[in-house]
Amino acid sequence: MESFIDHCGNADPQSLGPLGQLTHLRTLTAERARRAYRLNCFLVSLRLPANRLAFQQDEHASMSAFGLTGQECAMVSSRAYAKMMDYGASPVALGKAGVALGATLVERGAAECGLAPEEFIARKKTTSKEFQWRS
Amino acid sequence: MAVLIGGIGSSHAPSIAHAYDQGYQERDEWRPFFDSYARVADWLCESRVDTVVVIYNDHLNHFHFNAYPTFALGVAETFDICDEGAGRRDFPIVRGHAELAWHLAEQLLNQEFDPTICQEMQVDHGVMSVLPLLSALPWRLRVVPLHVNVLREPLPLPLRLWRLGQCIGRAIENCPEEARVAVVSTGGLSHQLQGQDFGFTNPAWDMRFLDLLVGNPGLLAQATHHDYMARGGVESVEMMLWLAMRGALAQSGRDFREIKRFYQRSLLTGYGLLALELFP
Repeated sequence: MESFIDHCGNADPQSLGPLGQLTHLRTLTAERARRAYRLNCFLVSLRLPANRLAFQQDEHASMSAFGLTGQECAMVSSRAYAKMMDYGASPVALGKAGVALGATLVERGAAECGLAPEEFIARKKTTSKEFQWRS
Repeated sequence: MAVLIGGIGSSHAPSIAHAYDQGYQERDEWRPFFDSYARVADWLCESRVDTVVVIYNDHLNHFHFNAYPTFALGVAETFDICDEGAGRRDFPIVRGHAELAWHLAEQLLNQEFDPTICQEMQVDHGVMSVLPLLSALPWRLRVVPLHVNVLREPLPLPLRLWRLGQCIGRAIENCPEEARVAVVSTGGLSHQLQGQDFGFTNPAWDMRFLDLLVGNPGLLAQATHHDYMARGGVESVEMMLWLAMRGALAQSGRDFREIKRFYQRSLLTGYGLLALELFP
């Protein structure tokens, strides 16, 4: 039988290869999960059409129904995506709220990078060209 | 008796589902991608695989943070498809394999894995962005879905996924039900959907990951979550799900061959596909 130890000849993490060139890692923590629980529940709720309609009709009432704090309401109202992420919002939950908040995934990403969506897409397409199909 | 035929690792992404639904199969930029999956679908047919155990993560569609399980196994006869916010995709209800699933449930608990046992469960793009590329309609393949938490701390360790796969492989091979089974893990590859690095991908790491998964999966199993995130972006931690597939094959003690390997960097993620066939 192929045993686990057979695959562990080199367990040095360095041999995984170089780190990515990332400026900042918002790692998952229990603290962020606890703090942003209400916010994440609210954001996920916006995947349902009825909740999206309620939010469009009265944002504040919609958020109050989920018990969001003033700080949380302010972040949502101002579409402060980076602040929500720092606070503990799940990117998956934010994705559910995209239609209600009026931003596609690419538009949100461009905003977080400080770019116009067209510029963001153009840059990504440029960097993708160096890697062709591999099969 | 059930027979373990092989394993598949695949990215999952809403963009894949969108491309499929929009009929992009013949577009230049998508054709190599879909052709690769067609090759794997052909292999599944040729080898008469009729059931797939799919290890994936739910994206807050069936499970929510009020009770988000570390592991959850679907044991139903059928599984409906989640409306992820843009309406339910137009597919028939997914066929389960309840006998195999209940056997897996018992065997996993006997081997000290304790998934939440779900007699009702909806599946999202973690399953459904890949299944239509592997199975003809009406669904030729039956599905046993197994969700793993990769969204909220605390996450299971990569080593835990490797061991989960080993248990799944053993359970398949001692299942008295007739089934020809492939283990499919979905997720990744590199991507980060937040912050100034939004859209980050790392093809060099993705391809290194595929190499290691085949030749030195123990190294990947011993890596930390941070090791994955620091190379592929925070959301890429779901790449560790592929270890379950590889662990299932490893426990068999049989050698294997590569049926297909494919990689392409797209706008926001690295698309990867790897199909491995066990020798009899």
